[in-house]
Amino acid sequence: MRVKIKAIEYYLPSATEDASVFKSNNPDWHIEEIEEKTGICVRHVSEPGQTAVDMGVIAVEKLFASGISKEEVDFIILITQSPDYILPTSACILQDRLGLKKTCVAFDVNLGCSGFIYGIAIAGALIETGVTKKGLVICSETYTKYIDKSDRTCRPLFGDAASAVFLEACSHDTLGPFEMGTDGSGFCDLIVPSSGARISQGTVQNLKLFMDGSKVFMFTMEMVPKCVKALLSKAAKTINDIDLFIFHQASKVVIDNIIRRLDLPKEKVFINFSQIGNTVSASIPIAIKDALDQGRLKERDQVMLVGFGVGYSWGGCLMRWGVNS
Amino acid sequence: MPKANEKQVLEIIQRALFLEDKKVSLDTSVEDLEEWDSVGHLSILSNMDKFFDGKIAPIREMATADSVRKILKILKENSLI
Repeated sequence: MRVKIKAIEYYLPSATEDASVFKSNNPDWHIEEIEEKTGICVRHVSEPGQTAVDMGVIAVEKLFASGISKEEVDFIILITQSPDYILPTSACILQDRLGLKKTCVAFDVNLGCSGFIYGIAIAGALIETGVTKKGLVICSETYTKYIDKSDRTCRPLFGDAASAVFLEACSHDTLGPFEMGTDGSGFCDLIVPSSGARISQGTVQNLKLFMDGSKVFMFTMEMVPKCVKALLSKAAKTINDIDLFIFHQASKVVIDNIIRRLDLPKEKVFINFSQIGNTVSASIPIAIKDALDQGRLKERDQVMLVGFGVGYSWGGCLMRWGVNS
Repeated sequence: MPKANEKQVLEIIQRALFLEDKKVSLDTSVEDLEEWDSVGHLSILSNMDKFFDGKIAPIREMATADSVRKILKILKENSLI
């Protein structure tokens, strides 16, 4: 696709949780052992009443402050599984809150950790087909609102965040190919069960996240390497051709096992989950921004992005970074 | 890759759970060891996959194997021991 990321920003809530918070809430937890496996020391937590739309507004306003004009935004794709309401579409609320033009296309995509890849694929298609010219892919999640304080599986992993990416057409083929997939048989392994329309009669809505960590882990160990290999094959490239791998920042044990199973050079894999946590769909764009700021991602670098998780759903793509239009 | 034996599998579990004084036996299950929690099980799965050269990841039922005997049964069914 002749589409490029022109600008990228993100927002992390100021409130954080670390080992000391867990120890005071759950003195029976072996925090050091958990941290050793997750590699996550700090997670950011949205304020009570602060929503995905609120955080998305802050991330986009950072983009506007960096020089992107509101008038340029032809579309908003909001990736979220913690929308402000079941309906209306949160992206519509964002259009109004951001003061964007009324010809702006706005819709939500209900995907988790694979969501950013799907978002830029859709954005790329909108731009390449001439439906729109430029726009935003926003990933914003407040998973912590779904997690009980005593949930030892989910609480040490997930943090809240919002990212905003501005895409536009360019003269070179910089984005793609893509490799995506779905295995809905794993839908109940990462789920907010008492939610949506499928609630048994007489059951009260209880928005608590459930994750079968072992099953999700097995899925990632099997499918992510397959996705990477399929993508390399589709692009007729090898691991040596990739300058930087940016995976969804799930946790240390997941990334370590992907590296092992693919025999990847560790220095080619960008990692930033330690002080941020697993921020679901926002994790890849946040990692891209951090890689840029740290000088790990440079002009013309060939990058592989891979997201995977809830659904099960996965998606990967290649991206040639920073080719000028 | 040559097949593993039961002793090697017990050693993998022992190491994955960082057990020093306690010993894993054929009768051990998740109820017997505080260390065999959800985090410990990820270590077992990861170490097994490493030992068996990547052959564990596609065996989804390993995710719910909550005893040594169940693990051994799955490994036997998949001709790994």
